[in-house]
Amino acid sequence: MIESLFGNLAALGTNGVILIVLGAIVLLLIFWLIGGYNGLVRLRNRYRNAFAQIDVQLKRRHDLIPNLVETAKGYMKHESETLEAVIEARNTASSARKGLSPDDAGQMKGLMAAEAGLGSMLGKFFALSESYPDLKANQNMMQLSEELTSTENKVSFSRQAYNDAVTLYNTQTETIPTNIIAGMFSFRQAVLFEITNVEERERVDVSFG
Amino acid sequence: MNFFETQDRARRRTKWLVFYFICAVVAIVFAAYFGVIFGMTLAGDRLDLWEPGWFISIAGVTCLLVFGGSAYKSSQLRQGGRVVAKDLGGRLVLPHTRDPEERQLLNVVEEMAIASGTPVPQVYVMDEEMGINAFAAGTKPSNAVIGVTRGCLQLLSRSELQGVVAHEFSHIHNGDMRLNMRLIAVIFGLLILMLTGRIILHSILRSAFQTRVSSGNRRDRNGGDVRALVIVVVIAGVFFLVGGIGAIFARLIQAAVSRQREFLADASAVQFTREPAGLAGALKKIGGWNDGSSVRSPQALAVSHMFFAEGGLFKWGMATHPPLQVRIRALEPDWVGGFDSVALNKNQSLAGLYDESRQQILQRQRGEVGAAADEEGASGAVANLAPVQRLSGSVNAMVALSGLGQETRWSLEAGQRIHDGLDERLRSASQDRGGAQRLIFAMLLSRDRQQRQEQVEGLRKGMGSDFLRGGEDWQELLESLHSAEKIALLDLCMPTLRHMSQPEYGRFIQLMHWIIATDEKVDLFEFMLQHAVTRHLAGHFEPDRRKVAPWLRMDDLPVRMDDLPAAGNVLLTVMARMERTEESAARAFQAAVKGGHGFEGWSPELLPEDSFGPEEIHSALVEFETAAPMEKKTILQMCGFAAAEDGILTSREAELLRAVADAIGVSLPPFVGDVQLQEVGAEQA
Repeated sequence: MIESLFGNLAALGTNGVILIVLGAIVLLLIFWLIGGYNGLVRLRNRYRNAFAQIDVQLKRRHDLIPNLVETAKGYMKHESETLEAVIEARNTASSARKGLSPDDAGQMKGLMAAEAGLGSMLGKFFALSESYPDLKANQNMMQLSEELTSTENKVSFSRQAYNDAVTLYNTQTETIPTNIIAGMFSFRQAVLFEITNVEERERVDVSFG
Repeated sequence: MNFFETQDRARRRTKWLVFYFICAVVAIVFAAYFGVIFGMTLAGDRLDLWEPGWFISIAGVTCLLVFGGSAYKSSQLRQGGRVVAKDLGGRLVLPHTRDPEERQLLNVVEEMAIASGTPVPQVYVMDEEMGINAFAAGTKPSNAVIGVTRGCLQLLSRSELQGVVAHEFSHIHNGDMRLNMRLIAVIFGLLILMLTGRIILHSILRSAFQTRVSSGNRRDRNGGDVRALVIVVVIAGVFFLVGGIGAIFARLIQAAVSRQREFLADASAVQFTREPAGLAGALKKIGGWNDGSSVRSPQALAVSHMFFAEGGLFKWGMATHPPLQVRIRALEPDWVGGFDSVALNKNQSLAGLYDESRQQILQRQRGEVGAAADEEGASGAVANLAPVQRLSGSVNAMVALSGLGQETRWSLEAGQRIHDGLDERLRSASQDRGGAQRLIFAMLLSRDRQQRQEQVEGLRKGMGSDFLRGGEDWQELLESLHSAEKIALLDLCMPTLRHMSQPEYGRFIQLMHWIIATDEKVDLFEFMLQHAVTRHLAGHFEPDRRKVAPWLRMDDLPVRMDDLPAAGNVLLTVMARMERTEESAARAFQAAVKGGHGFEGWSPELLPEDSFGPEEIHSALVEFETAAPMEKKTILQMCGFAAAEDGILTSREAELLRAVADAIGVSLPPFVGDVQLQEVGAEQA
């Protein structure tokens, strides 16, 4: 058995052996390519899916805000400017969210800016609402602010999962050797989702007139 | 340490557990065998140290009990965590709950599910438990449940609740739950052994006791079976002891395993929530709260290692959790120690308020014996205020009353109509725990402006200043309601009120008594409402009192007349004299006498106006409460005839009818709403 194998190899000659080795290398390369490509796709899908989770929560947040403003309207009659600004920020964020793909860095930056704006407007709104005890005691308002708090928490927790997934993906696209595959099939870098809420610190200062 | 590692470790620990378990069973078999041999020798039997026949049978029975018990429990537990939750008295929180606290709990659980990347578990609330505690149970994340006590919901802030829930999630996440469920099964097997021994011992002792009491003869007849009896007693005794000792050792293992996991769970909880303050705050509140983290359910023992904090069950080195102080220090290294005392809604004690109200009640009972009669006289003026409604024919009321006890379509429709007619604000308030309490209080508030102000102040003191917010205008809304509608509202409040916690209930009842006592008049509606509330809620919140047979309850022994006819006269007189002159009262009384069958040995007599007071009415009601159903029906019908004699069923008459029906334990369909009523308040005036 073994002898006959060696016999066959000998019969192939040097060229034949080189051919076989080359063929094997090419095959290995192809397998590696397929594996690497699939790995990248898997990671990309993972972060896209993680983004979908954020998206659900963002949509919910945007849906809650009009109700919140509607409830507050009856109590905060002198704050109509703030209320309008909240609605405006909400609309900006909502339209930034619509049709957004997490792969598009520009769109993502826009969404982050809009969300940061909305967050700061909401912060201002809640700070103002502190001085309306009747509004705070309103059943509807309590429910809504609980839901908003919860949604915000959910956004931040799913943001963490998304950022983890993005980091993993980005590392893969940057490191050797997978960066070669990423370059070949144009896997772009994904954007981390970071909302820096500038107004959050202010919220504490404003409380109670 | 990443979480695969910890899961792996938990799994390996489970294998060790199985090994320990088998060792324990072998040890138990030998202990049981030698115990029995020793016991039999003591009892005077001559046995060798090694009796293969005995050994095999004892080993067989022991293994059967322990393994059987374990297998039974684990098959039960395979259904998931909800078995444990239900055992502990948990109630599933439905996804669309309207209760704000439960809503918040569900939200927090969802948030933590996202943070830890586990599926969202079902959530249970243990309504009876006021300690601050929580647990996670299940054999895998997909059938996991999270349970929290009512105390958790009511005492913890949002971020503290988040900390507690995150802690429980890390038990799910780290794979501790599986281990925990196994432990439950093992301990159950050992307990079964102990229980079997105890049950056998108990029944033998009792039958022996009974035999001795009844006669000496039977003992002689049993004489031949003495040896068999001794064997059974010895075996049962040994099972009891060995099972008990085994269970204690199992608890030690349980405690040791659990204590280690708790730190890890605290650490991962902080990882999830990213702020140690919440979790530390919750632990501090446990330290400062009267009930601590205690869980009263008798089932709690078997699952003590699953809880968030010590269930208050072990004191002697068998703690399943590290001490609170140590856990808090781990989270907040610069904590100085010491707990601030925690109170429900930061209230002062109500003891003083309550004493005052008791005194007022006593005073009134002493001073105004004829209060009810006075009431009837004064009520002529009030009658104009209350909406009076006219029967399209008194026949209608008769028809309605004769259909008593039958669930008919019209009563459902009437109920529906009343229900739909209620103000939306009131209806939604009745579905919320605070709102329902506010509603009841609002119904009880005095009509007198100054007195009402005092009552409102009292309520603010009792319930916290925020309590009344949103309910200021309810009294006006309520005043315009027919009492049939008020009663419907009351009925809507009842199921909601059952969700109160024990302390909340206590406070609610105290305040209710206080309001009723501050009101100088014995208002019929108040009388009815108090009856209804205590009847429907006491059964729920004070089940122990019901278990005691009536003749053993010396403290609140009812003043009984032992005279149904006399009681009938009292009730009918009250009904007939309601808002009537002497002359028409006599007519109404006659109508009642003609309308019903009467009672055995009854001589109908319209009592003089000031011959009875609330005491007498109360004892008449008690009298009928214990009467036969037919007699209950008769008195209700006769009351109905008396009330409807003049063709007008006023709001107050309806209230009294309902009060009577409710007090004697008959459910009265809302016939008041069915008969074609029209507002005739103006005509009446």
